[in-house]
Amino acid sequence: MSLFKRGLNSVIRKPIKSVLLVTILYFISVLLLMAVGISQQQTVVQQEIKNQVGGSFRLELNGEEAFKRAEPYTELVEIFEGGEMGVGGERFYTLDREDIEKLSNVEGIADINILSQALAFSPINFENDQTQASRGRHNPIDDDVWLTGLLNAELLDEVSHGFIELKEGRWIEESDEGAEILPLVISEAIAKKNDLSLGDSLEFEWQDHELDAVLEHFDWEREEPIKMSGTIVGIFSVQRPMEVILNLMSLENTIFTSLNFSDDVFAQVQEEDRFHTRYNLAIFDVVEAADYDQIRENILNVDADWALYNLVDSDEMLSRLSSDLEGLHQVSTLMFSVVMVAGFGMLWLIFILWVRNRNHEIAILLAIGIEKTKIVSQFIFEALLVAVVAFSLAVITMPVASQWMDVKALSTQLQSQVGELDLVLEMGAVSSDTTDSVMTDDFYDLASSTVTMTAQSLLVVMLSLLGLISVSIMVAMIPVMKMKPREIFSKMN
Amino acid sequence: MENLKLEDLKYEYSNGQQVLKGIHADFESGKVYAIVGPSGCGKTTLLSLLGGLDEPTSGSIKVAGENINKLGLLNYRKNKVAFIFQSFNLIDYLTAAENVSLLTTESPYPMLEKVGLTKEQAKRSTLQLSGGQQQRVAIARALMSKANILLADEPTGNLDEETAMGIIELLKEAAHKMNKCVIVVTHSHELARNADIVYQLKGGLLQITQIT
Repeated sequence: MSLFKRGLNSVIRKPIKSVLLVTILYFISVLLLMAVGISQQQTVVQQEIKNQVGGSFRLELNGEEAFKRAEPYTELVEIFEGGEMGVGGERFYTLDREDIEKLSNVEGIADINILSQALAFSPINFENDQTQASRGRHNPIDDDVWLTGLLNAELLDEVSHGFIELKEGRWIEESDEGAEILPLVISEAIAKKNDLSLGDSLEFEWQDHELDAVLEHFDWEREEPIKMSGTIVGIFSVQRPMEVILNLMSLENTIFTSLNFSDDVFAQVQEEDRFHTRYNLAIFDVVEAADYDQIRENILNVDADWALYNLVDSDEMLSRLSSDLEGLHQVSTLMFSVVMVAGFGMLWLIFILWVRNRNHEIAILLAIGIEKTKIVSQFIFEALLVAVVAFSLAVITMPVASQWMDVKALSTQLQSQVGELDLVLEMGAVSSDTTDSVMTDDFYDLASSTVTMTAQSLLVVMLSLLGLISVSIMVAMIPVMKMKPREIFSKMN
Repeated sequence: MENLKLEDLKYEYSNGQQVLKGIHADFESGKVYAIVGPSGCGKTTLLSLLGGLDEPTSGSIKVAGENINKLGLLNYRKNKVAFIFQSFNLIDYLTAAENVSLLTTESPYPMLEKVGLTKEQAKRSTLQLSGGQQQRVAIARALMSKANILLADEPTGNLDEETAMGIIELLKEAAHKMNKCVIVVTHSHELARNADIVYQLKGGLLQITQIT
């Protein structure tokens, strides 16, 4: 009779022992599957982040360097009781437009988006959107709208991540720079509230309360009030309401206009050379992601004021975004290791008892001339047979088992981490009473699934389990196998 | 025919006590040998040595003229000798038929029928058989092996008189009709009476006390 048949008979005809072993191996399998599954989930989520971040470069201001340069020219002005603002060094807090142009001409760069500073204006012939206020959200400037300079919109995070979507008309284009009439792209919320459509004119008045304090401090004059007007060329809808961190205003009350609109504003202020359009962000999109590294090198070779800039590439963004996920990955690795070690200890003890209870059988088999290796092989085969059953059950019941074992908590943490990634992207704070975020719903569905199991990860777990069992049994059988047949024989009697 | 020859066989325990002090003996096929002696005289030790479960301190055991150490003890146990134990020593999760088939691919039913078990009994778990039936299964297993030398350690020790007689008859049949060399260690007078040759183990030496 082959050892396989003996083993099969042993497993089937000793059901209680088999069921006990199945139960223990089942729980070990479930824990291993969860550990690997969570790790796999991380990998999938990280890959998705990478897809969402895409291949691009962001040119941002190095705030520390800017401050260092501005400091000698900066005077502190009290803008309200207890509050001060530095004035005089504004020209250092901007990306250089010429540098931006140079970088946009680098081979391999497809598109460029530029965002300039936002200024608060009071509407004259229309009203702003009060939806945020009606939701009870804090809005420091209740009635104002924010004009934000823009060149191209497709690469903006707000647009590429689906927060806003153009409904009618167009975005601000390069040809709008220097146009006589200020082009305006407004929100659907403002358009509906004020019954506005493409071609309508809007008027507003600059309300820079901080500027008032500055002008008073330096005894400068300006034409009071500073008015602006423009024509609606586009209307966007807000797909997901959020607060834009930079200007603390809602997207509904953001009006996009030509990049250098603020030059027209400052032109109305004396000492205009102190106030310039400030370029806050430039995003460069690459033609081919495969050429990413070469393009990056080309960009860095451009003669630009690099000390003043931070060039954030998507890999850096990715690592920034996914660094928190790495923590979870380490947790799953630790979990896997702990389960393997604890599993070995538990199985070793179980198999020691298992083998001890079968000394009689071992003695008979030795006495009739069956080799020790075959006896060990039989025992391993029996355990592996049970393991296959336990593992199969674990795979089938995984979703239920993981809920029961509160792995959902880990999934929640994963979702939380993804939520925090939104903040890192500076797309706006996500309030606690909404799941709106930068990431798409599909992305959140991905993060919310308990574990991700691929064929590869199933194989890893199965092989780990089988290895664990084989080693445990072999170690447990060492004392018996070292005994001489005579010693075993005397145990028989 | 395979003769089993013991030449100046000695065995010493790990504590230095010499239990076998130079045994010379010849065991031939076709005969039943009984080894008797008081408890603790070394009968089981001798059987262990004959069965290849242990090695003598000195001396040799030869089967068909070849030293069993040269054959390899595992090979010797597998092919040259078969054990029948006092407590039957069947594997409890196998049926009677499966126990007999442990070392062979031949059908066990003819042999089991020969030793007095029906086919229905042969398909039962060993736990469902009586003591006598289990011992018959053990004998059948021994007879099914290739071994010509059958070693039995108190094969009737746990059986009632009537059942024991049945087993004795089987052993005699194995020797006389199947030409096996049957060596039995026993306290049973009945079994000793039925043996062809009786050896007494006393003082570490083997002496013939009866020849039938």
